Amino acid sequence: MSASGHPDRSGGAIAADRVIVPATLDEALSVRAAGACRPIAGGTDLVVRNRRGADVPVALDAPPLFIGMLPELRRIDTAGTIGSAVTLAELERSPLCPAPFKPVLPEFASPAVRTLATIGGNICNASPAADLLPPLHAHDAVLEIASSAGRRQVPIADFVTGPGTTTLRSNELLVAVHIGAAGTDPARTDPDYVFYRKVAARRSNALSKLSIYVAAWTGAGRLTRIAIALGAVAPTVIRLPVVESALTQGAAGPGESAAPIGVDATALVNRAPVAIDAYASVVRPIDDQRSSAIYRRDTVLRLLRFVLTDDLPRHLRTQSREDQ
Amino acid sequence: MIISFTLNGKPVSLDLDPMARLLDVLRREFGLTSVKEGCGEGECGACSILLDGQLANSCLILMGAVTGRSVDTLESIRESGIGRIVTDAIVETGGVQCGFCTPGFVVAGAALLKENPAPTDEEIAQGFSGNLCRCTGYRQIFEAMRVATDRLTEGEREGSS
Repeated sequence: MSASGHPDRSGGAIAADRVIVPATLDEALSVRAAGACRPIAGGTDLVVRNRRGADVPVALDAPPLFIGMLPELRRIDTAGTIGSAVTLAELERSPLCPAPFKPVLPEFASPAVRTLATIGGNICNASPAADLLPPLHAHDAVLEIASSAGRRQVPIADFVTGPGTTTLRSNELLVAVHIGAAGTDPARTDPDYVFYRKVAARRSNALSKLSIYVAAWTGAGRLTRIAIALGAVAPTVIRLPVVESALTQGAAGPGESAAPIGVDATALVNRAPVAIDAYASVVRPIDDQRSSAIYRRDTVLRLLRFVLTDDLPRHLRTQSREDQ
Repeated sequence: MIISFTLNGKPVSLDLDPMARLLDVLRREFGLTSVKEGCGEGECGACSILLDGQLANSCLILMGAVTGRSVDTLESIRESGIGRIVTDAIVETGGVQCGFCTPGFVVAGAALLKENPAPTDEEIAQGFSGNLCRCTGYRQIFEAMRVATDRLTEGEREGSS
């Protein structure tokens, strides 16, 4: 509020000659290199966080840089590369939408928000409750980051470091997300079992209290690979690759038949308790206005137990019956 | 800065703060008061507009992001074929109580029918999932969508015969 009692309508000082709506990625990167600025893609988080009321411009901590319409950031490739400014609505409608996102997108906010919100914004905003982060972690997404000096690639697990914090430097922009080309790494091809639950106050337009995303690769009733990502139950998404491997690999336990690859439903059920204990030891949710730590902890572990001892074994048993 | 965009089908160009919200600009500069501020955080849908033909919350859009794009509000949508059908249907079924949410529901309903002329109840619920009516008259609003869907299908049959 200014001395006169009226809100400041100027929106802060933006130098008249400053580029805030760049036409190309190179131009945007030069602006980034020149000094502090705040990139805006969809703005669905940034605008809400910095709004000051009706008829008053939004004020940010640094001059804005509008990158949402940069053509270089708006492509979806068959190679599994999604431009950072692709909106969730575009991803949802695209025939090239990677399978892992399909169950997640309809539960993300509302249709009107999905028209604006971008994949890059959801990642860089780095909320522990970000809906896209669990599937991106489970599928080992690699982020393409650019600056005027060049490019680097960072696995998503090394990018988000805590609530609202990332390893993006002040001269850089996230330009694309690689889910990987089909047929290369098994982690990157579409799983044949996906379990996703977002637990929230209502089905639409609610931030998640917690979420769980499980992708499994199976064949002939055997589980050969599993990826488990837990959202909003720790400062960043929980993923435990060693525990995932232990579920599908290693020596056959008592009563388990020695087979070439993977585990059958019975072996999975036998191995589940040790895995669930491992997750229980790293889940450390917080109490906040959306939920309590104890509810989050209990619910995420129960959902995990449901997947490992009930839903996924049922999928394996059905598969093995169909093969006979 | 000078911001140029298409508003309700006409090109406009105005010296605006790039950090102003589209919602405020539509109401103050253009007198388009169908666009309401309910929650101001993208939860209630009272400020719904079409951005490049897609349903969006104008309270979340900054003018710097509107350059070169196309914005449609209820004022033009209600003159379109689908917009007219949805508007008439919502009046006939009593889908208007206090009226504050109504423009947003008509815009969202028209956006849904444009993409999917025969939505199921589940698809209608999905299409309206970002619109809140605090008079809680959802039943009549749903009924309006069924009426609108019937008229659209009738219109198509007549058009093709």
